[in-house]
Amino acid sequence: MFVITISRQTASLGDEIAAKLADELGVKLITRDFVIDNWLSEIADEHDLHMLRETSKYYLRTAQNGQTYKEYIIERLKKEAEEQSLVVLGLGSQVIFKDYAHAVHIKVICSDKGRIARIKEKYNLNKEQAIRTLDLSDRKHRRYVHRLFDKDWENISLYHMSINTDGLDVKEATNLIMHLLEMKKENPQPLYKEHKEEEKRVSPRQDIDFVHESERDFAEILDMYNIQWEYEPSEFPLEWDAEGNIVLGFRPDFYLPEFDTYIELTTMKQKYVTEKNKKVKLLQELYPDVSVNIVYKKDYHKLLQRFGVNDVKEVEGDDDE
Amino acid sequence: MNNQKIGEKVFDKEEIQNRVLKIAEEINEDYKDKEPLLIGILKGSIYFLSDLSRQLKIDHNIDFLSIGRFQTTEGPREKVKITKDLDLSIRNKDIIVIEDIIRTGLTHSYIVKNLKPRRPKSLSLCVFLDCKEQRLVDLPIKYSGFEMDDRFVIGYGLDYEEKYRNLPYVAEFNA
Repeated sequence: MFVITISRQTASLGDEIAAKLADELGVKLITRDFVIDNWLSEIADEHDLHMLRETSKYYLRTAQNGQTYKEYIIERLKKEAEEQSLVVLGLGSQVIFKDYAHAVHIKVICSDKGRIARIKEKYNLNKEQAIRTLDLSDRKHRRYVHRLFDKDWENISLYHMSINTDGLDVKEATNLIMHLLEMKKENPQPLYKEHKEEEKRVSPRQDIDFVHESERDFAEILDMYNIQWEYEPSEFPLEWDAEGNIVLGFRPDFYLPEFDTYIELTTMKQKYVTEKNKKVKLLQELYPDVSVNIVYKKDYHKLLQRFGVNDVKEVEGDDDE
Repeated sequence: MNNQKIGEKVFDKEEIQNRVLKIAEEINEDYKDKEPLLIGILKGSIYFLSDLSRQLKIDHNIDFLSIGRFQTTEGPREKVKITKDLDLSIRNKDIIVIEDIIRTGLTHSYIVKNLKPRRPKSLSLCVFLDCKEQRLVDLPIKYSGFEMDDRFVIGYGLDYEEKYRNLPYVAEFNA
């Protein structure tokens, strides 16, 4: 499931792009009108709905259900996003879904000249009237996001991509966004946490004091497949003395949280392997629900060869491992 | 073809065809009122997929996916990514991923992780050779042709430097 948020300048073709995207992807389009007609109408009377159409300040008011309209919209949007993919136009959705790994945030802009021309044509206005309309409308968009979310709507760091429709039509812009979406599907991560996550993935491996170089190589293979890992996160007590003090424990090398599985590499001399095998056997007896997989020296070297780590490339088949 | 590189036969043509027929019968039964989409992982799965498909009596579609590695300048030296994506949508469809061999399961965990967010109705794996002893992560393998040890084998889709895929049997590779 994914969410595409579209923020747009008035008459920038943002509305048309959002509609086309929803149509092409076969997903639900959520606009301000939809929210007012279908969601807010459940908790607001006619007067409230009128005010909600008119002023952003009203979204901070408490509704009949005890929530502010803003809180209610956020809750409904997030619930909807749990159930299906969405294209959301406006509503501060770029902020609401800023931490959402499967969201793509798009800003659609256009030069004043282009927007004025579109407004003139659409509403049959003269140039001055068109400028005034744009000014008022942009101000409303800006105020809504600032008032409700304390964010500057024009700050481009809120978006994955800004599209200038001066030189692009709706179809081209839609294709660009769909292309970006496909890329993000392969590497979902929230816009705001991007840098932190990058640091998390890259620097800890350099900072971690791996006991063996083989563990560093194995971490590299896991990174290659984008598999989350933790290095020696838990120690399992295996034997206790008469007083209940732990006298033997076992700390598997890696934990793969997505698979709830521990991995133990046994790449050292045989006499240590025997000792380690004993520990693993004990662990499996004492903690039958804990999944531990052991990689033996022979298998480990085959793994390195297959993945080309450390420039060892002897046997090359398909990419399947 | 360098026949000296082709070692002892591990599974002959007849054994393979019998096993493929058995798997097809299981799939025919399990998916009798459905129309699954078989996704072949390129290139190793093509022979297994085409034989299996021809033995299926139920309606089904076919698509292909390819995974490759590319160099990165930061972080891990190489990353895995999809080099040929599906042509068909898998949303609300019953998916059977077809693969020639699964060893550690790392590649296939990547594939499953990639396909699941596309919201298929169901997702299972069908593998020709299953190297269970080398498995590091759990995978939803529903159909398995043969269990395999850690020998390097060629034929029936499995290659050595892109050769020997077309052998109608599986044999050890003489390095």
